[in-house]
Amino acid sequence: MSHRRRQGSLETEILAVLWSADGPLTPEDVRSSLDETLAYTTVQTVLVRLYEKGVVERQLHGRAYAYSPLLDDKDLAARRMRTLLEAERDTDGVLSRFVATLDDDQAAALRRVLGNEPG
Amino acid sequence: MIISCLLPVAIVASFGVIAPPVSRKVPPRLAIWMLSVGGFALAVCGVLAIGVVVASGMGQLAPLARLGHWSPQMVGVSVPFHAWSIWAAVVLLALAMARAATTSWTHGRRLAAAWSASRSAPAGLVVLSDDQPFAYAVPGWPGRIVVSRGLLRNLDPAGRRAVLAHEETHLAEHHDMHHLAAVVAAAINPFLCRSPAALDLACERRADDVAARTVGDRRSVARAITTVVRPQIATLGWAATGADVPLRVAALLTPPDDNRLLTTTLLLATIVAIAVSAASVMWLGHDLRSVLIMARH
Repeated sequence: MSHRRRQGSLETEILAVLWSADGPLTPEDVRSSLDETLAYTTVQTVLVRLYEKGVVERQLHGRAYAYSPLLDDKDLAARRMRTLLEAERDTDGVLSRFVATLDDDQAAALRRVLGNEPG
Repeated sequence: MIISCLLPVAIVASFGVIAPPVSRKVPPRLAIWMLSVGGFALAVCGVLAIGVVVASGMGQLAPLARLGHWSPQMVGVSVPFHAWSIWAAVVLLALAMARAATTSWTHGRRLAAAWSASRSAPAGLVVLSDDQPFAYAVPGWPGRIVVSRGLLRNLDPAGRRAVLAHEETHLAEHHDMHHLAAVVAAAINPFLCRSPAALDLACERRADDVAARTVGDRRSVARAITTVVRPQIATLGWAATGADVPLRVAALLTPPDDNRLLTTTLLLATIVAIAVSAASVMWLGHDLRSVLIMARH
């Protein structure tokens, strides 16, 4: 179970790296962008799996493949997610959002808290 | 009979008042279980107690008495509840049932939509091409994380990892199910109306804690939160958990000390409250059964 969870979160993280990059990345590029040390083959395995799932595309860069995410706003999953988020906007729904918008009072409270941060 | 009927109701009412504020001061994992499962169990006990009062009224109805071969007059004499309190119980029970049914239905439909959207996504992460930074956990089996490109562009590797670990915690620990339990409990019993918001804060605190442990630095999680929050101010009018953000950042920057005594007391108190409630309900059911047996002819 923990092994499977670990794999899933690695996949998520590598996908996030590909998305935050400006161009295609080789497994070595990805490996250096992650802030934990992983074996080259581990990164490569995940990239191949993502490619097989049709989430990323790849092209030959010298001797290695370079991977980039498929722009997926037109694909089914992205469309459905967007519909879901839009339907949830005003309701106390089932999605947990990382943070919600603050009103002025809350923003002031946040600034106060951060102002106390040492350093 | 009156005491064992009032006890579960009194317990759930005091739980509704005490638990939400206290939940902020204990480890988030305990707060989550206490508010969701604890609150739900107490709400169910409360509604069952009211159900027994309703049943004692139904026992006085002639057709039902004929069916069960007991005397409705005898039941009426032996049951300590006044007619008006039985009618009040009928109304309360009907309201609780109706509210529980509508809440479960609307919430269940939203959950089902989220599950099906999750199933359609091939990987654990779905990126939307918005410039606004946002991140969501979409529940499912397995659930998915939805983030915007704006979020990924705005965060350093540690912040990115923090956000992903945060959302993964929501999914791995099925906070959606806890939320459902709290929302349905609050629908059954309005005394619990402050539980869902307190539960959401506990879930966020828990996810922040795990993210902080993954990244190894509480400060970078706080920074990630503020990165996400700043550009959103006054641009989108999303409601809900905005009030939690300063609390979460505060909890990250000055982690609450581990108050073992309070934690243990609260855990025990919740368990005792559930046990007493359940025992009262069983006692009540047993009493009603004795009344019906005595009234047999």
